[in-house]
Amino acid sequence: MGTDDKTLLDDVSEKPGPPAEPLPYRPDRTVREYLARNRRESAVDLATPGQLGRGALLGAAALLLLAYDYKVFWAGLLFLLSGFYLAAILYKLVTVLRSLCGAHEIRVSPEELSALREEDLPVYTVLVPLYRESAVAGRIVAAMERLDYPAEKLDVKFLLEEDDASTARACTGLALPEGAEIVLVPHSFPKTKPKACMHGLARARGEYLVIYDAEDRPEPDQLRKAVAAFRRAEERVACLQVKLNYYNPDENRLTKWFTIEYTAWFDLFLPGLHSLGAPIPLGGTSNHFRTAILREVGGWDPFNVTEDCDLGIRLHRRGFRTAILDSTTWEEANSRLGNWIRQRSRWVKGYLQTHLVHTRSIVQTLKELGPFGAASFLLTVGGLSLTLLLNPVFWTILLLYGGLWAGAALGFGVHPWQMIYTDRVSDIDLSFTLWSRLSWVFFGVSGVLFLANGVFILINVLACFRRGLGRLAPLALLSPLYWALISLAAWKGLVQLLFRPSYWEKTRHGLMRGPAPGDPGAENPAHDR
Amino acid sequence: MTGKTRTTLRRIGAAGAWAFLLLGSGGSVCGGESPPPGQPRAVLDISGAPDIVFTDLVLQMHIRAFLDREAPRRPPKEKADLLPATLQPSFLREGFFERPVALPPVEIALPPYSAEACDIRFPLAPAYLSARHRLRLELRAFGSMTEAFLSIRPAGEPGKDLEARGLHLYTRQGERVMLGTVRWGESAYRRWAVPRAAARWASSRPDMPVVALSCDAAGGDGLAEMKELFLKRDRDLRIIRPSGQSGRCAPILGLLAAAGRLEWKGDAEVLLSPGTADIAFGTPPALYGMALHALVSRMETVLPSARGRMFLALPALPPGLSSRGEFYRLAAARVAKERHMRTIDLEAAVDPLVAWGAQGAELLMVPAAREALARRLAAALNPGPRDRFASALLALAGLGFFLLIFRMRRARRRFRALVAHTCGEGETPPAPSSAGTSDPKP
Repeated sequence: MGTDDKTLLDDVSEKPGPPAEPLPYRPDRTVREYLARNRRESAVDLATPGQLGRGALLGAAALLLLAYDYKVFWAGLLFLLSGFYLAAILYKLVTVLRSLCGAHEIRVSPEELSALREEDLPVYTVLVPLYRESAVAGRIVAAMERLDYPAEKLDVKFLLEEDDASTARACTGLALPEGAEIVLVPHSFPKTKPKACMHGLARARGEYLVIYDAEDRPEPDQLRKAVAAFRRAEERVACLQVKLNYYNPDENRLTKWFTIEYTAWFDLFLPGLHSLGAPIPLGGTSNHFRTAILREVGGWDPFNVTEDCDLGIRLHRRGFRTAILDSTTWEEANSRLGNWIRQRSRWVKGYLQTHLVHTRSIVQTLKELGPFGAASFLLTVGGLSLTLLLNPVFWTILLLYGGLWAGAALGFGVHPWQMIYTDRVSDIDLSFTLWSRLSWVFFGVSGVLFLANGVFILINVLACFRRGLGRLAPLALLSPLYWALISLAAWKGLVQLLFRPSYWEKTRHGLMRGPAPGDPGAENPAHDR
Repeated sequence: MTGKTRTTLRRIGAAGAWAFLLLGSGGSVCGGESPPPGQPRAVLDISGAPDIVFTDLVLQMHIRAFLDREAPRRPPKEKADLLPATLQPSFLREGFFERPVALPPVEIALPPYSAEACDIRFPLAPAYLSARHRLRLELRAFGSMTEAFLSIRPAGEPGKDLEARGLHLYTRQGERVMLGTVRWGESAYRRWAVPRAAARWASSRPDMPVVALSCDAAGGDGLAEMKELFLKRDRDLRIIRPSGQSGRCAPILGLLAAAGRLEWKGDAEVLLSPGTADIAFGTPPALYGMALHALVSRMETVLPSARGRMFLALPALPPGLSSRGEFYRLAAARVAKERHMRTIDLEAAVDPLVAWGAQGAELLMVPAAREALARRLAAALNPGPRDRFASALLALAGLGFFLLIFRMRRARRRFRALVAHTCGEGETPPAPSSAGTSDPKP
């Protein structure tokens, strides 16, 4: 800990009670330097003038089409959207199926681990950003102590915020592991985790670097596995993404669904992307980096609220690759709906930010990611976000469609055939009928929605069995309900993107009932492979 | 074959006969003697061709009136052969067709309707009438009406049979009419054998003038093509296009368009009969009512002498549509009340055999009819409350959009100030809680 930080920390931690006034923001050199180098790749600007121009052109064209023929407009719009929607879902299915066809992640055998000599192990930096985590600070400290890595080669940095007295107090009251350091992040704008990480990166000493969240429980041998994997992998593998999962899946339905989704994402989807050589949107924690490369690409974007996803894409654009490491970090699943929606809305907002950032220059993106990589990026980042945003729209259309059928069955107004009959173009002319168009649109959208939900359920069921969570499979069948919740959060994220793009929706941790794994009297994670 | 199926098929057969009658008469204008009290003095049949049921009713009223007036009632020479008496339309039972030249010159005036609609009905009707004995048997082989439509082939020479049956239709100019199928596109002539056979038959009789009926430019073009293909007798083929427009089936709006072309002399009492096509095609009852209002207004403009002397027919409905159709009847009754018109409830007068089954009515759907529905939705009828509501919604949406942009710009300015401050370029912004950067309380 630097002298300045220690003094500040003393100041912060000794202040009893809540602060009377919010601290004014300070200028932040780290952010300034990042922007000076990487502004073009930062989410500090929501959209560039070029993007705005393209958007305006598209909007004008859409308006012209609307004025020309509203039926064509709506049919075309919905056709495009449902096409993209379907493509995103099917791509996800393909990646998942591919990941099922073999082990695509890097696996480190116990022999390899035992062959690692302690003196050959490099210094490993562990960044632990903590903000208002006084309740779980002790747990992450304990988790760090459990890491099977030479203490003298561990460079653990707890990143505390200047205005977070409670966590500072909690940390100063704990016996930190040997070599651990508290880094005090100045109270500056934006108040985000990547900004804190950038401060940590500035002081990192390790050859490799990893991030853990406050509630994380990494498997003790994870760092050793990462070292072995990095040494075995190509030089261009800059990052290893470890699988994430939850140690409290059985707390309630939400945690069960969340666990299923995480399992599908980290155990099936990301390995599938890895096997395809596609850009991988990193998960929030347990990303192991080669520190030098991380510095080379500029680190995390302080303004992007899913800096992990952005960094994964950026690494790919620079020619580096991300691999999946077969190790698990256990986290706490959000068990409260409001808290979960906050977290999820931030994720969707961040994905949208990332999409906007990396589509600023489509030519450049195509050049750097390649056609397949660019398509994969569009489908995984923008596409999946779009599916979430479209779900409520499609559900509404489906309900309307069902309502019309029901109405027809009850003898009101509309005939069922009006909703299913499609005109024969060759027999009439190009001016299709309204009903025919509605038939197309309604039928198409309903079909897409059914197919997508089927795929979603299938993936989740597969994930359950893949991870040995067969008991959760029945709930996976109800995944569309969970999807609806995600969509709710997605719309919240979209609105927030417009007004508070870099606002970090803080996720509360430590809500789990009972002791977390690692706590005194606690059991091991509830499920394992 | 079950009794129910047999009954259905018989009804289909009967419907074919009705369709033939309809297409032989289409819209017609008929003046007459003083009607009984409470009945309209003249019947203005302005229902479209798809309105099989009602048009038949009007035609039936017309024919009955004519027969009552002009010809002494005679017992039929022969019973309408194979159809059981209970299934025969009343005028068939009365031996109408046995009167060789009983029909007065009828002005064939088809309102604009669909070529597609034509080719559904034309082939069945002449085939049925020309070869009733055989067709009825053939129909039994098919499971559904659609199949029957698609599979009917003429047995023998239909025209000859028609002639043999003494069924001739004439134009006002005294020309005999042969019914021809009109359909858009040459594929129709491959698909439907009846018109081809009819055309060949006609071509073998150079003495007989042929008048092809058509409703619109598309149909007319189709006929011209047929003529070129089969008849090679340009001078004998005359195409009547009463509507003169290239519209297709437009059950109510078509009437509006046709109304302006009517000529009416003398004092008239007019029966406006909206027909059942709109019901069969599922026009929303509210729109149906609106269109009726517009129709009444239009008629009052075109025929000022009929103002205050118009009747509105409450549509008669085929059995399968009766529950839903009540909405339409209510809509018509409401319009009549609002416009101070008298009503004639056709349902009370309808011959049960007139009614199509629900199946038959459903089969009347044609793309063009739905296009008419779309047109109706988009028609420049007087903006009603719904349009005003939609306009208000649109205005609100626009306002909301501008507010959104305004708020976004404000938030963006604030954001930029914060970024500038972080980079040491700006002044210290106000407290963060108001800047959209505050964090939730744990």
